[in-house]
Amino acid sequence: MIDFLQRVVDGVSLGAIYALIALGYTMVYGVLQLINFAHGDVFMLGAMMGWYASSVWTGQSRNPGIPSALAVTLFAMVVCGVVGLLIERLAYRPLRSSPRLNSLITAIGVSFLLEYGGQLVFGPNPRAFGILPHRPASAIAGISIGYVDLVTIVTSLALMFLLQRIVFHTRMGTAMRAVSFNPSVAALMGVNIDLVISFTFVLGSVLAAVAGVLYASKYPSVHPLMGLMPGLKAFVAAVLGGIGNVPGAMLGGLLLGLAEQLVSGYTSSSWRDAVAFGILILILLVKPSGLLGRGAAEKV
Amino acid sequence: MRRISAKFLVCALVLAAGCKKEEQGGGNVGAADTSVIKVGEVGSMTGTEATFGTSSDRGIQLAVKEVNSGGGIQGKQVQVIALDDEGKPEEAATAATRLISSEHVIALLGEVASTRSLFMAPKAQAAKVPMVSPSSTNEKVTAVGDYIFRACFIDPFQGYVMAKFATETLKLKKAAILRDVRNDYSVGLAKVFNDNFTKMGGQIVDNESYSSGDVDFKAQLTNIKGASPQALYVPGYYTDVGLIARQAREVGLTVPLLGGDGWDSEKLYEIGGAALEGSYFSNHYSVDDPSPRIQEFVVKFKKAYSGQVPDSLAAQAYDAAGMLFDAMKRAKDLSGPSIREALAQTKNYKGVTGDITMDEKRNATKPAVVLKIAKGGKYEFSGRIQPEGPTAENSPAGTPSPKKTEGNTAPNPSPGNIPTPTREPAVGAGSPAQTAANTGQPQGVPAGEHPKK
Amino acid sequence: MSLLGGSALQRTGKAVRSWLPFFVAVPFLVLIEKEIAQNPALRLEYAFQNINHIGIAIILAVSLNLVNGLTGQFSIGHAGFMAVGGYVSAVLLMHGPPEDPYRIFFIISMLAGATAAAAAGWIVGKPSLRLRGDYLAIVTLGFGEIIRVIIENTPFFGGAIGLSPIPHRADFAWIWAMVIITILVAKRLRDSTHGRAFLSVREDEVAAEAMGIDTTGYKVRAFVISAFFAGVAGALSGAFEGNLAPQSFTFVRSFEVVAMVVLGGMGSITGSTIAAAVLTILPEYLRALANLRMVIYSVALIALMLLRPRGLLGTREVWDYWRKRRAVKRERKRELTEALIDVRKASIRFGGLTAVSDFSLQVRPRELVALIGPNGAGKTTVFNLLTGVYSPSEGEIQVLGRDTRGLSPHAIAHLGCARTFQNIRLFRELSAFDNVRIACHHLTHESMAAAVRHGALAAQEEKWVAERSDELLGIMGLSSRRDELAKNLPYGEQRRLEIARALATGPQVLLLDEPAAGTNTKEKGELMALIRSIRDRFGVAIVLIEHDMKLVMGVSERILVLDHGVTIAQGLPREIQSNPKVIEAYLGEKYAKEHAAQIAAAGGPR
Repeated sequence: MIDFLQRVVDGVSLGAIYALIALGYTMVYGVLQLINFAHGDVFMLGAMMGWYASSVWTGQSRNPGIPSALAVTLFAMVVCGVVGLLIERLAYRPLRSSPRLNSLITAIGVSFLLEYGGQLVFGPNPRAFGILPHRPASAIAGISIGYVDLVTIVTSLALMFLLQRIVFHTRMGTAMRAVSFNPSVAALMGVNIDLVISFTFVLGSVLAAVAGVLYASKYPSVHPLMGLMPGLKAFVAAVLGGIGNVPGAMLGGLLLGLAEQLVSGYTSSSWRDAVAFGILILILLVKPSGLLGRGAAEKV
Repeated sequence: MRRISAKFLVCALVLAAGCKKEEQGGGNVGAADTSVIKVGEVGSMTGTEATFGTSSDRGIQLAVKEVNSGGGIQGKQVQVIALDDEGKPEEAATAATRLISSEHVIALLGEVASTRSLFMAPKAQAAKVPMVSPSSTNEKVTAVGDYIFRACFIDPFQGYVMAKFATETLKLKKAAILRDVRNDYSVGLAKVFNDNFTKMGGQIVDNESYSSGDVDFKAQLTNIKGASPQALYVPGYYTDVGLIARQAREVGLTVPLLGGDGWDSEKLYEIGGAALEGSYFSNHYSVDDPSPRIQEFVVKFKKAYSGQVPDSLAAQAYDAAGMLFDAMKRAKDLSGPSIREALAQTKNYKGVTGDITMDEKRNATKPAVVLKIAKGGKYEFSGRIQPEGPTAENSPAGTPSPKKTEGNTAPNPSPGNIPTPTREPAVGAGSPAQTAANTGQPQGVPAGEHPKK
Repeated sequence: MSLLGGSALQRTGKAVRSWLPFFVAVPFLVLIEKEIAQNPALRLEYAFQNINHIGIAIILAVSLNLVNGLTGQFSIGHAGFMAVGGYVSAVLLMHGPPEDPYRIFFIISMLAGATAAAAAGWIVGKPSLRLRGDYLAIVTLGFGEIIRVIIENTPFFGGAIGLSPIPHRADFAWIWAMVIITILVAKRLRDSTHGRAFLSVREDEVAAEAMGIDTTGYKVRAFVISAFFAGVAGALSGAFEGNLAPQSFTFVRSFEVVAMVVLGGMGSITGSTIAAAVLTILPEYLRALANLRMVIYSVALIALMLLRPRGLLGTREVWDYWRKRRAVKRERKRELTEALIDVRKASIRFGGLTAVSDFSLQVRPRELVALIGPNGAGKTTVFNLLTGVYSPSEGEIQVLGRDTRGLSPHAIAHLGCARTFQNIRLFRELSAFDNVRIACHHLTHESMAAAVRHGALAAQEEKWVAERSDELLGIMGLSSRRDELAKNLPYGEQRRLEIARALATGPQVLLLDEPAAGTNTKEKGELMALIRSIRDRFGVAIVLIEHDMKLVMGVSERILVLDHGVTIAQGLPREIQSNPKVIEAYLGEKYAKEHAAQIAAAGGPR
């Protein structure tokens, strides 16, 4: 029983990370109907920037104090926001009127560019870094949960609430939702489409940066190819919860993390990655709009 | 009619492209550049395995620089042509083909991964170009033909080494295994460890797996913890082992970890940190070994590569290249068959990873050392296991031996293949007992059984 | 007797002639292999290594093009099917006879591998092809990964180290022979009516269904055929390299093939071939910039997507430049006197909203019936019920004597009920000619195998389809627009084209949804004449949804009025005109009261 609960806790911790990445994914998809393959690599960039800042500037990459941890995170957020903006402007905007498939291909191209470019710039070796001070894991009733995990869960929840507020209680958020329903009509209503989309991308990238930094604290091995799998799994999490739906991304992330840990633990861990895809196939066949999403029928 | 022309057009285009490449490849048919010795290298400089390929490459480049500054071979300078295979097996085959037929290399170095070596080897064998792999440990590689050599252990040996160390030195009875299924090296070592540990009286209480690139191992580690082993064998690469160690401690698994030469890298401790302290791994050498040969190598390497400490891949590649050049020096001439002869007769080549001798399967026979990771990441010598007998150099686990001295090398009277240990442990240990000559096959591998089909 | 023998011989002769290019090419290929490729003196191993890799890449790209390009589905798991084919074939080869001089066993193993891959394609495709574009992409990616994980974890398949040594049974000749076969099959399919069916699925699935194309069936077929050839490529790869390793079948591999299809132009076989060749050689040329290779590759890909998104050739083919035209006549007919459409008390509810309730309608042959009512009355919903887009919650619907509840739209189109759409759903990127030809598809009988074999049946039917389509275009006054892309036609002509397309399915009853929308008075007059002439010439019954009263009154023999899903009136045009309930529905209660006298004077209900 303890074992099972430990696995549940591990699953939730893993899931919180997926949720963070999924938040960015779901927003971009909601507004642009685009699977931003490069999102996972922006996430990687966030982790790399975190490493860079912490080791080169603060020199406190192993056991930093709170101010330097925040500074490093901020730096990562800024860099990723800028990169996200550039990607959108240079690679996605020109293809908005082309078939969706072209944008997908370009997204994959950008993803490869970030990965192999990263290998060129940073070298392929993994780096170790963690922004959080090393506190020992807390143990409650024999179940341990790491400090990083607690921080991650709290941060994910906080960011989720923040995002909900932005999307539902600000003008920009309303504009985002309008664009996600019908871009051309929204434009006719006076919404600056380009601004909204850029804003969405920056927001998503910033979230990815935070996810990257926290991820690196939990798994302190940072390298240019680390983003591919987490990115894909976060996408699955977003779909599971209902793509375009913020609480859905959170829910999807947690469920995916749980499923992964339980399946790996009780069957064989070779199926760890397969779990994500299996869930995806299942949900797309059974309820394509996701757990919290609403279906939209096509009008004939 | 139009269909024919369309297709033939494409065919013609393609053939033309193929020929064009031929010219660009440099060197027309038959004309070899005789003032330079061309050696080919195939490695994964980009892709998911880039970190291993670049490490190997650095070792090779260093060896080339040395041999050239020492006057070259038979008066000629050595030129290494390194091609990237992106970690893809077909690319390795293509690269090998290009090196052999377009660049006209007289020998090949590569690859690190056994899978890619297997794709390359048939090309080398067919063209009678000697090939030396620095780190491919799967037995099948040299079985491709008599032109294929390797400068490293084969999988069965390292698995045996750790099993022996675990049972005899650490006196363990129960162990668990966590292997990387995506990596044939890991799978091979795990299987042999499993077989030998059980044969030596131990019990494997749990056998779990992961795939290289995974970051979360909590599920498997929780299972393992539940089985209560006394140690955990993790024969993977340092890229994953560091994380595994951390998470093992996080789930409350406190037993020592055991591993193979895939652990050897400064990154290991960087990532794994204190979680690794008290664990052991088998290796070819220790970077802290004060023996002049090794220290010179470390110093030279650091100088050439902005302070990077060489890992075992770099050291093995350095030795593979060195071994090849040594053979070339001894060879009658620089033709394929002659170099092959000389390579096959390599005896006690003094490499940094040990004194290397080629057995009749063209595998390297040399002892392995077992290193303990002590506080602060320093390696401590903990034992040496010979390939042939059940005698192990004993330094009881836990005894600190911070400094190693260069021991004397006892001459080997036996025919062929017993390597001479080059390093002796510090105070307290006697000279290694020599046993009778063996036939080259590391004992402990059950006859007829192979990790792979 | 000699006639019979002669025609059989003729047919064989024709079949041989249609495969002539292949037969001519094979000895050349063998010659090249023996004399050049395997000649050690020439030292062309590297060139041929590349040439053979190109060949395999072409097979992969052309086969994927069938799914991604022609049918418009986005699959990025092709490497998985290649792996299945490769591994099954390799296992057989490794356990097969040590000598195989005539390659009989190799052929068997290759076919076995390809069939296994096709089976995998069926398993993957059947459930997933209902999904939309980007979702399908991720699902196929997932399947590709799962297949690879299975291989890695199965010792029988060699696990991480792979299978070796595989007997070297395939070289230049075999690989390029299969390349030619793949291209020929793809070309024949594409040029046949089946190819047009694939294209229609890509262009507009709803319209395709309405025109009688079994869209899901065609998607699955494309998937299975493409997986088959991927399996062939895998088998060839294993037998050529002598080794197989799971690292060769990663997502990166799948993506490289997708890149070839996209860059070459989705739907263009020539494009895929050229792109496959270029993208296989490019990395070799870029070796000098070894470290930058992947970076340049990705930048090049992005740049190409930005600058020339249709790829090299769009949907054009090399052989399109040599096309010619022909035209003749033919007709088919069936007669019925019973009710063509018989709806009894049909209702449909969407959640809490009853869109149509208690609807009944009988349409007899050659009748002209109009369905009118204010916006939102449920008229198009009735059409959707008739054509199988919706299934009624209650009631019975019979079309041409058959109960159609639960039937898919394409089956109902087969029965003889065709329609046009309120919002015009033409296959925009296809020519007018192709739009009409696609609608003829369900009337043809040739199988895919026949199309590929290029047998006599296929040629005959192609001719008939072309003639019929030309004729219909002529009747609609669109002959001059034959090769114009549908999206480029003026609005009025688009509407006429849609009608022509619907007629091409050979219907007994034609449903027209607001054919006069957006037309001016003159055009409306022409349309009235057109509708009548269609009824007279083709003998079809026509059901019309319209808002323009003049058109409705001028053309229909009978009118039904719907309001909020309820039939409020039915009868002759004159009756409807003065029916107070109708007036109330259209103009409101107040107007009806104010003008009650006027209405009564005009004639009152009868």
